[in-house]
Amino acid sequence: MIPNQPDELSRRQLLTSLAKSALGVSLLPLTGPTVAHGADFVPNRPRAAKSVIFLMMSGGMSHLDTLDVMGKKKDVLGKTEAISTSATGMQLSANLPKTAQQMHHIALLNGMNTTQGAHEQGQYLMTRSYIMRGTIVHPALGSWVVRLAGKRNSNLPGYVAISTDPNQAAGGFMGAKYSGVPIGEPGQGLQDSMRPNSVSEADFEKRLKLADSMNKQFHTLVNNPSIREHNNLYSDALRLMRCEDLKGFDIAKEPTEMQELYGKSRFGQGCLLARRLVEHGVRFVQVTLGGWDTHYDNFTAVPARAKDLDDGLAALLKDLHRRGMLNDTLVVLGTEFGRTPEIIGEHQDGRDHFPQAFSCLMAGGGVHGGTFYGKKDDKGAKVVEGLTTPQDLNATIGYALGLPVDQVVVSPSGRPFTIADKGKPITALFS
Amino acid sequence: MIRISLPLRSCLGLLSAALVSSASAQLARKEADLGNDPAWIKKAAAEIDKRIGTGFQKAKVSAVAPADDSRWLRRVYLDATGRIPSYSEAKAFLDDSAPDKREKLVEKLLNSEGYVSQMYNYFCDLFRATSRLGDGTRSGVPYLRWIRESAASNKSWDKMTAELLTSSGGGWEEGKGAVGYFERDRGMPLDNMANTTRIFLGTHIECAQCHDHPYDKWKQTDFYEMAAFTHGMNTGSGDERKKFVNEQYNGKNENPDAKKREIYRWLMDNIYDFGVAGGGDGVIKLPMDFKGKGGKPDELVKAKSLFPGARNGSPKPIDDGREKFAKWVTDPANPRFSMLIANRMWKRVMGIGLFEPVDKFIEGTRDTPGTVISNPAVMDYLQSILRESNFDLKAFQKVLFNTRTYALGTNGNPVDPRMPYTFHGRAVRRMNAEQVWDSMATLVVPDIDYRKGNALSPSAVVGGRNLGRTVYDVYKEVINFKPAEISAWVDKVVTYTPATKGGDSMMMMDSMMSAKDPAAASTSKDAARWSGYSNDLIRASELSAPTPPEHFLRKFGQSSREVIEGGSSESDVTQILSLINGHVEKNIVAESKAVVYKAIDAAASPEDKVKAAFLAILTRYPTPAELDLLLPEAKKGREGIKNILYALLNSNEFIFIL
Amino acid sequence: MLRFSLPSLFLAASLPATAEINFRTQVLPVLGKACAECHKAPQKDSSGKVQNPKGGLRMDAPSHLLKGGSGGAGIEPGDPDKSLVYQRVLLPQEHEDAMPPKGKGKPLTFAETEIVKNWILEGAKFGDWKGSDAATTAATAPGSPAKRTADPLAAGVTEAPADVLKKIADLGAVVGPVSTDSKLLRIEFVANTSTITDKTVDLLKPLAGNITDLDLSNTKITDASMATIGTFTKLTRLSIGGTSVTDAGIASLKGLVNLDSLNAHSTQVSDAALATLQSLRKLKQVHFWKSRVSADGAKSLQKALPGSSVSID
Repeated sequence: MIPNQPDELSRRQLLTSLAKSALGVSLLPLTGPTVAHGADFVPNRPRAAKSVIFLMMSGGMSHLDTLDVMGKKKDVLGKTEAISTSATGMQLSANLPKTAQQMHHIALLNGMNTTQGAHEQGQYLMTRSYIMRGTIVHPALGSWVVRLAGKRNSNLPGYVAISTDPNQAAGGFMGAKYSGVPIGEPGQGLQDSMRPNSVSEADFEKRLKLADSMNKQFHTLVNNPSIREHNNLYSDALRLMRCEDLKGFDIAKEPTEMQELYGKSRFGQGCLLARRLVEHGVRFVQVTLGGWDTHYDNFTAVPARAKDLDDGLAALLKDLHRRGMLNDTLVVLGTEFGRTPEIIGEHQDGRDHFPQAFSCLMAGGGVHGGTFYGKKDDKGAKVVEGLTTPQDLNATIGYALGLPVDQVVVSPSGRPFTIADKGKPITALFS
Repeated sequence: MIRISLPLRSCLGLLSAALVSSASAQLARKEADLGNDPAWIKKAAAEIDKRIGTGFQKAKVSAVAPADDSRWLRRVYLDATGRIPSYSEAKAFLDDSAPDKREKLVEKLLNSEGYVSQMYNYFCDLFRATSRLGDGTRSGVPYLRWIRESAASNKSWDKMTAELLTSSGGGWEEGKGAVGYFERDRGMPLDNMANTTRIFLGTHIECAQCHDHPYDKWKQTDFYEMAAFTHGMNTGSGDERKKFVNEQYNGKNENPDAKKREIYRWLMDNIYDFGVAGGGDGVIKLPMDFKGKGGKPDELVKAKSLFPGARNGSPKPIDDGREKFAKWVTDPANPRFSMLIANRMWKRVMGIGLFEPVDKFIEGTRDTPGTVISNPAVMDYLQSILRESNFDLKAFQKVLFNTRTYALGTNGNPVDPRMPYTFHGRAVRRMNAEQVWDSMATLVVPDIDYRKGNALSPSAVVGGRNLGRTVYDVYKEVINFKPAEISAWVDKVVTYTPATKGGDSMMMMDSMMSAKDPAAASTSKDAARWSGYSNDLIRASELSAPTPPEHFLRKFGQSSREVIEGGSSESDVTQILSLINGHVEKNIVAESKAVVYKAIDAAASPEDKVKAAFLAILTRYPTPAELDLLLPEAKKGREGIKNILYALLNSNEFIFIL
Repeated sequence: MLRFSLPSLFLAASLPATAEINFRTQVLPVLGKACAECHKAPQKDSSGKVQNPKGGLRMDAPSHLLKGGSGGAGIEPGDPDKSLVYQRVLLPQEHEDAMPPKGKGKPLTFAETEIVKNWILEGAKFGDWKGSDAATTAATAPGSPAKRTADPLAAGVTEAPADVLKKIADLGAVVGPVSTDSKLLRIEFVANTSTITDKTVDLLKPLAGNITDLDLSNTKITDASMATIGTFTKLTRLSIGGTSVTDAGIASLKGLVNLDSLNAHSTQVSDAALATLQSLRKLKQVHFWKSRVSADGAKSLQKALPGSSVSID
């Protein structure tokens, strides 16, 4: 990685091609030649977290019905009730009973505030730290993390996006090699990573051998580095197919009781897959849970969503903890904005978008559990302490990983960007 | 490498003629159909070759030997129609011994459906046109239809540009789909302006949106003076119908019936909520956080073009700012306008622009050299023939395809596109995503170019119920409704149950005038030809775009169309996985009806079978060594043939254009 | 506003002791960014005029901060109310004494003022920061990775041999300093774990004085490796979850006095190993899920090691 250099793709490609032809070896990791192996990366603080699991609550999660019930007035909570948690003096919504039992791992971010009140724009800012523009696509947070920290396991992608809108996981100006590898259904694993059933192992070998012979002759005619680079990827693909780490994508390998612990929902299984992937060294995993846009009938819709969230999140924290992985894995729950304290009767008790104040959470990765940062008024309508922007949240994620959050990466069009724009990390959350 | 020299002297006489024609080009803006004048095409192609040849002398390089018929054939099919030639197309050309067969083929390809398909993809990437808009609920189809129609009718570039910049009205109205250019960036008019200057003028002013440009000369005031032209224009505009429909599903007076609300919402997203109003104020207020020089926050600035040409002298809002702006942009005297499109089209045909990136031209100053044009004489001439032909892009490409420069052999060395290139041989490129997809489909589906999907004419599916007709049909019916008629229509639709198989309850819609949609999918007569082939195997241009993330096209770098020309031809491992475990085996090799098998089955001997496979996949016959390598497989029957197809499709030669 | 509450269900489970605020990494970046430009040693400007620090307050060394300026003590350790620096940054921006003054910089965020306040409450310790008091000063630009306070563990550690590091990295391991400017190593075997064996651990011997963080989870190592690991005296964190290590292996760790975290989930380790672990007085976190350690055993170990968390689930 050459920091602070214009990220001119063609130039970079040329350099890597030349380097490779000189060394005569292929060091290409899964998503392309420039995703460094983590060995190059040194965190700027000891005991930094190694991986991130980002749980994105898409649609705008109602803070008052989930994370921020403490000291809130009855009329804004509506039918939602508060319950006590494993952390003395802290409460959560009764919609999250299992998560409440993991509260000693969790720091609530109750001072969240964003400038964006529409879904697409809000999600963009939350996952990319910049306001959406028509002239550039900013890289997703996962792309930034892999760009700055490299991979932990060179056999696997650095960034995997489960049940996530591809636009949210795109590498933007960093290119496709930094995009999250998409997994639609957690149970289906990595697409095309197995030999097709219609081809026998012998035929598979034969075919690749024939192609290889063709290519060898071809390379004597046209000796071009990008062609050779493309050809080298075949060995990487085969290595991936045959490497033991591929099983990180296969949740069928998990015992039944583990699958049940996470809940049978797509989100729950996504959380299980996320844990497996992190265990196998994937740097950044995003799992998305949609359906939080509860304009209508909030008090039926939220508990339904919250059930999936509660199963998945609580299981994830519990499982990471007992495997001794929680200190190294930062779990973040994000959403694009909150929902109105006013309950809208004519929409069967719905809640509308509310960017002024909402809540997220962090757990693991060195974050003090059983705490909260930031505070809203008793209506959940205004941040009165510890205002935190999406950029601050992303800077905090970068801080947790020991990343240089001020490192500038220049887009191919010559514009400078950083992982969290001007966000400031909430260092007080950490030991 | 064999040295050849282009006929430098043979065309010397044409030089003066060319200069004259260039000088008089503006005067000659007549209706002459130069694209169909073989003499004009020939003359222009020769002039380009001459100027390129002078470039070789200056740079002391020798041209690579010309490409043989096979290589030229594969290249021209991919560049002009976006796919490889089918077995029979390749055979017909190679067997033809006519001396003018190349000119004839260029003529044929540029008038084919394949040409429309690839130009459509190109324009969609350039104009960032997508099937869905905003958060994915709104339809972007009218914009796509306008682009398709523009590509099919070979609309001139200045006319396309003017329509994009000035169109007003509802997007579904005839010829009004160009409003999608602004609709696409609803709520982001400033970003839209930054893209406009980049697409049409090659000037990057997006930095100046927030501050004075750090590297270029643009100031923040320059940006706002430009933005003033289109300011005040209204995206998502509509009349009483839109207002009525909006109220029905949204807000205090919404319809109490959730099912009806869903239908109103559908009408809004698919029909009424797509339009632009306002001609452009010509004035704009500087933003509250303005920090550039030469202006103050909230100060009113008047429209002024980046380069001299257009301005609004009055501090009062006007209503033709966009007209003024478009007139300035497309003026033949605006050198940037013709230079940009000349460079773009040159790159499309020749592989590399005369400067790169193709949309970034920086004028030199005392301190910086600015953008270097690799061959200014060629650039001058290209601009002159563009103006002479009234920005006829097909005629322009026809000239380029007919040059000897285009027909040179392959330069296999790595070429850094940012360094001036002499074009002494064709630089190697990986196929783009659409070319890979379409070429593979060519091997399976007969007459692939004519197999239509419904991306441009989607079915009307409301609340999960297919109304048995297209959105276009619905638009035709409802566009002039009064509010009362709209609600009557919704009342009817809400009780509609989809027809049971072939049933006659094709309902109320039957009684209504059935509109003939020119962009509609293949007719049932056509369908017989393609029955049994997977519905997904149609050309990329026929699919809703962008395709979903896990789709083959996206893996191979199809643009998400969020930014200008966002596609990528970089290789990565997920692509290789689809080549070895996915699409190639599952949808191509394992498809027993694939046309490629017909050609192979028709060949009698194993040798001829290998030859047929080579011609169909690599557009050439095998070498003796290759024949030796593959004969044992050909002798094994179908299973061996499958191994051959798979191996050829996984050969580097398949996916790289030479 | 960061508030702590004690976990009620898991007594002392996983809540680490609160670390003191570090001046260099947490306070200095805040003050550097907001104050340093105007509150530094007298300087000559471009016209040759001497610019004195504003309000007579210099903030470029501990002694200057404690002494303060014309308004009083800059920092009064333990008392934020009497510390001018803290009081001034708290003022609303409209106030004429507010710092940084309007137009000279962004007001501090709540999080930043909290850091300053808590640091003062904790006694305003400057750690190893000498500022301009020291003969030579390494400038700590705000935002740049700050130098950490000296780690006693790092004393006397020599540079790890590069060829060994490369050999291990080639096996797919993540190998590197635990943080910038440290010679202590973190080694993580996460790829191809079935190929990581006792032989691999043998390769680590030349790094015995460097390794402080070692992850061998799910690898094929045995108790034989544990004997080697027992010589890694700088080791603070060790993960052997999912390996075939037994009580005998744990017994080899008795010399690892710096160990503060041991992850032995899904192993054959049993209560018989606890005696060894009890002697490792710095041990704070132990994971025994799916091992053979009993609930009572875990409880007794947790009791024996004050402030520790020993979990079996």
